Amino acid sequence: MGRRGLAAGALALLVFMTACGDEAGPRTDAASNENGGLSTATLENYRDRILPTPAEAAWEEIDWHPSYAEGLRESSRQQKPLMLWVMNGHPLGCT
Amino acid sequence: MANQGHYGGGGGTRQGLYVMTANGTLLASSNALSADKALETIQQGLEAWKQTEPAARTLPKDFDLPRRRWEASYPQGGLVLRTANTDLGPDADRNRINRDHAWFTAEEARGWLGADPQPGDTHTVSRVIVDRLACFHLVDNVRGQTLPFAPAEVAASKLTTTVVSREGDAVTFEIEGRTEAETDGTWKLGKNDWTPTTKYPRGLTTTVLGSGTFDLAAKRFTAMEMVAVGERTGRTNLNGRPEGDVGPAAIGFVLQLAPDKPSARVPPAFIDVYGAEWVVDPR
Repeated sequence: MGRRGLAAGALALLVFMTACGDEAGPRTDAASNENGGLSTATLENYRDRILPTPAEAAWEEIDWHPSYAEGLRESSRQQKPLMLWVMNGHPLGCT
Repeated sequence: MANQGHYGGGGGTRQGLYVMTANGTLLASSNALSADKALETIQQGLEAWKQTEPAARTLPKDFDLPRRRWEASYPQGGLVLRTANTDLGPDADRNRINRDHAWFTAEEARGWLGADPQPGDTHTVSRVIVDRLACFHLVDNVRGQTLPFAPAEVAASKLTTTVVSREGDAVTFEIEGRTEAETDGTWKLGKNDWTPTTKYPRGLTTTVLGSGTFDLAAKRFTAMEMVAVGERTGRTNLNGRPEGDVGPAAIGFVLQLAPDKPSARVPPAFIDVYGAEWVVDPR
C-alpha cells in the first residue's frame, strides 16, 4: 500500500510521550574536520546533506493530527481506524 | 490503550505504532524502525477494522480527555522553526535524522533584528533567542532523546544578523555566529522530568550561517533558514550513543520556517524546560 493508500485508509495521529532512546548497536564515528568547513560556499551542500530527502520526508505530507483527542474525534466522525504513532522527543521524528 | 499493545502494561516505554478504533479497541501494534514492518502493522489493523462492530468505531458519549496540552502554548504570530539534525563525517549513519520545532513568541522573535533595520546594520541577536537555540535545539539527539544545556553552559554563544536589503517592509538579512555548549554534567536546570541521576559531561559547538526575511508591517518572518555545523562530545543516558561513541565527531543542523499546518504545532521536545513565562504547563 502506498502513502496515498495509507492516508486514505487510516486517520493519522501522533502523541508526545517521554520514553527511552533507541537501542541501536554500537558504532564508531571518526572525528571529522568538517565542523570548521561551513561557509557561504558550502552552506547549501551541508543543508542538503542534513535534511531528509523528499522520499525520506514523504510521511510529513500526511495531515497528522498532533493530539490524541483530535484524532479520536476525527476517527469517530469519519468512521475510520486511527493510527497512533508514539515516539520520544519530537513525535514527528523517530529519535 | 497502549497498555494493550506490544509492550504490555509493564513499566517503560510505550513507543510504537498503534492502530485502534475510536472507542479504544486495539487492532494492531508494533515498534519498528522498518518501513515494511510498519506497513505490515497498518495492514493488520485495517484487516482487523473490518471485523469491528459499528459501536466500536464511535467515541463513547462520555468521552473526555484533558484539553490542556503543550500545544496550547503555540506562539501564534511568532516564529516557529522546524529543525533537522544528523551526524556528519565519513562514517556517519545517514539513516538517522531527528526533527523538532523551536518556538519563539512574536516579541522574542523581534530580537533577530534591531528596531529600525537598515541595509548594512549589524545586530547582536537577543540572548533569549541564542540561549533557546543553544540550550534546547543544538543538542545531540540524532539517535535518541538527550539532555538540554543550561544558559550558563552556553554563555559564550553569540549570533549576529546583518541587514542585506530593505525593500518596502521586507528586511532581508544574513545570520552568522557560533554556539558553544559545555558541561561537566552538573545539572543546572532544577528538578524536572529531565533531571538525570548521574553526570553526563558533554559539549557541542557549532558554526552558524543563514538568512531570513522579516516583514516589518506584518511583523512576521517570511523566510528563515540556518545551517549549523560543528562538533559533539560526550553522551547522555538515552541518546543512543554507546560509551565508545563520545566523539569528538561532526554533527549538523538545519533550521527552517515550519509549514503552517496542524502537525507543525507539535511542541518542542524541551518545551517544559524552556523557562519562558508564556509557556503554560498543562500538568
